[in-house]
Amino acid sequence: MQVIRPPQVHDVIIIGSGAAGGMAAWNLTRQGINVLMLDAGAKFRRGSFWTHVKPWDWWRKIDAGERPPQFYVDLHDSPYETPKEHPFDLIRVWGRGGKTNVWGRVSLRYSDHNFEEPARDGWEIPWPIRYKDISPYYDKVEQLIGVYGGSDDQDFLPGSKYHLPPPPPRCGERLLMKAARGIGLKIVNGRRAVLTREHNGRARCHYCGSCGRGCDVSAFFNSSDYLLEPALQTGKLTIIDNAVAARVLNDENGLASGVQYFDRNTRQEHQVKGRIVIVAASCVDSTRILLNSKSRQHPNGIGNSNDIVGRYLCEQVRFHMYGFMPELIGTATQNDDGIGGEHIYLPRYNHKDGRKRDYLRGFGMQFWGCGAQMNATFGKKLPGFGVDLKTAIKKRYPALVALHPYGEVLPRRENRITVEGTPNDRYGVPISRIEYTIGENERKMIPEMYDAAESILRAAKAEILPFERGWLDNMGSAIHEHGTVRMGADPKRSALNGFCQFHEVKNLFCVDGAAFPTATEKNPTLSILAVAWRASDYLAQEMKSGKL
Amino acid sequence: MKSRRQAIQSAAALTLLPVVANAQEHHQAQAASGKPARPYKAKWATPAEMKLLGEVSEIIIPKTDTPGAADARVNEFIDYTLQSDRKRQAELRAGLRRIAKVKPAGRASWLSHAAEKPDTADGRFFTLIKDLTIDGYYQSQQGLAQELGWHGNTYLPEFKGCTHPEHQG
Repeated sequence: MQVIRPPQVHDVIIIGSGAAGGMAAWNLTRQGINVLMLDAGAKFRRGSFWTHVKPWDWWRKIDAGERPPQFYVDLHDSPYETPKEHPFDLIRVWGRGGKTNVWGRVSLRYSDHNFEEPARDGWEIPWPIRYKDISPYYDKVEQLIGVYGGSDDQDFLPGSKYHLPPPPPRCGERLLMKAARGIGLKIVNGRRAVLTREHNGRARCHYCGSCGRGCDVSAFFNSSDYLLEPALQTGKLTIIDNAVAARVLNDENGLASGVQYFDRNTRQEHQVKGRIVIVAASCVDSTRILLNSKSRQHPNGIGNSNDIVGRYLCEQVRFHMYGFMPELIGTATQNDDGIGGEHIYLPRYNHKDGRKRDYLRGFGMQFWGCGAQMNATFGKKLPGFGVDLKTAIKKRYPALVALHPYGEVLPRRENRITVEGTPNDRYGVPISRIEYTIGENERKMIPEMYDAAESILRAAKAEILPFERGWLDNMGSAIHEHGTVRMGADPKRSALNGFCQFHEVKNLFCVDGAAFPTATEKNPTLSILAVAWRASDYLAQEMKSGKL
Repeated sequence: MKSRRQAIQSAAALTLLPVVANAQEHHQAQAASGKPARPYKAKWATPAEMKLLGEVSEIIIPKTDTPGAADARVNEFIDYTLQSDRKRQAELRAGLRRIAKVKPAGRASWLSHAAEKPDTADGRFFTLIKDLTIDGYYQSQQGLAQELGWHGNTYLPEFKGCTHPEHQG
């Protein structure tokens, strides 16, 4: 098939339309810069979301031939491989807004500790930026998108000044807060990018509890409605749908000159030209694109002569623990939906109790489902069957609480993404191989995470649902991949500078989670938005001053 | 004087009323989409297996003053859920064959024995059908709404959270 090569040279080409790409597009177009965006899917129509389809109708509708929106990438469409003994869940959304259509919306600023720790403890390289660099951008992001939360800042959880009002805790959450306080732990209000009141002309939440299926009124931040629609209105943004980016192209001098992509429907190859290329396809896909961008000037993948790109993949470890609060057993069922997900958060505290630890970093805790859920899965762990089981489930149903700690996984050189010797996808492009395991540091931290969750439930005198100590959720399931295109001050040990610009290729940027040198214990999207805003401000400045 | 933020917010409140109203209508439209249920067509289970699945799931979650698994047609959920899982189909089918040989009056006691031996084929069959029954029943209208009293996933103008004075503090 002949390659289609339009002659036009775009100011900036952005690969990916999620939080990172959306932010870059929004911030550049409003400063008058022309942007071409390649989106691997198409727009999800809000009117077609199944947000209010009841559980009993859900599968019967599918059985009758209806289909909910297909957010997640089908592995037949875009496979990846892992060693058999080390599976890794790679969750991706291709289409306008990417994962922000269905994300967990937890919006926690990284603290100064998060930024400084790697420099202090020496693992692995320092962040090239600090909280003071990024905090003005956190301020701007929060005002733009709307984040609710309390005014209950902690050492590890700063910056509450622009919060919308937090939703009140559910019964079980109040009781957990009380119990934790009794053992010296401070559980605070949760922080999420959900609108608890109208904000910047956007509808507020109506508490249907189904955020994971997309929001039919766009009451939580998603890149499509909050960033790309306003960017399109400037007339400076063009989006090509179903454009699966394969490689960044470069010129004789090794500078980025465009992007090769394939049409997801026709499989036709296209090559578009640009003065600047921004990679924002989310960590693993961005890495794959960069590693596949091989040329005479960049035999090891573009911007990767130092063999950094693809290495230091880091994420988080997590598990679930469930209990039943004694005060709530046998009480009447309430509507506990609220915001989809818990209304509380336990910020990292392990630096405070004066204990010496034999591991680095730490963990925070989310709480997930509390009270009446859309199922009673916990019943599988209760013994027996018949009337006794039915009664036992009914009594415990209003009393359910869930604890869900997230622990930081350190970046390690051997945890990596490669494309050498992997099979090709349907477009003839090598797929990713993900090799990822946890190490000694995590193995020392996990028992303490278990102790923390159990001690809160014990303090609450909760009935604890049987659990297997040491069990972990699948690697990758936190969907917080980082590290493979990391920023740093030392060009030998990092791929990007603090503005997400490649040390080796000045007109190439990577602004998604891959740029973060550590995973922290927190959910990254708010930080990705802030870092991408700062990076695109720098880029706009460099373009205006003629340096780029 | 109003701050810029307040001004934006009050302007937003005005322009947003129709959007919120739309949310309510949208919810009602989705909720009211329940067409008359058409008869379910089994994907892999034979009519005899469907009948037996219904009977065994009813032993797991029986009818009391609220509906049981049979009322909720959990057998249909199980057939649907396992439609592309050959391995669990075979496991369930083999277990059904064994329990079919037990007289109906003795099946509860057969399941009790099976439950005590989780590492045997009977024990695994018990866990499989129990788990599937719990998934199916407690996501059905009978199990979730009538038995457990869930009335969520709806339009709420306000979420009050916990209002019990005894849970505060």
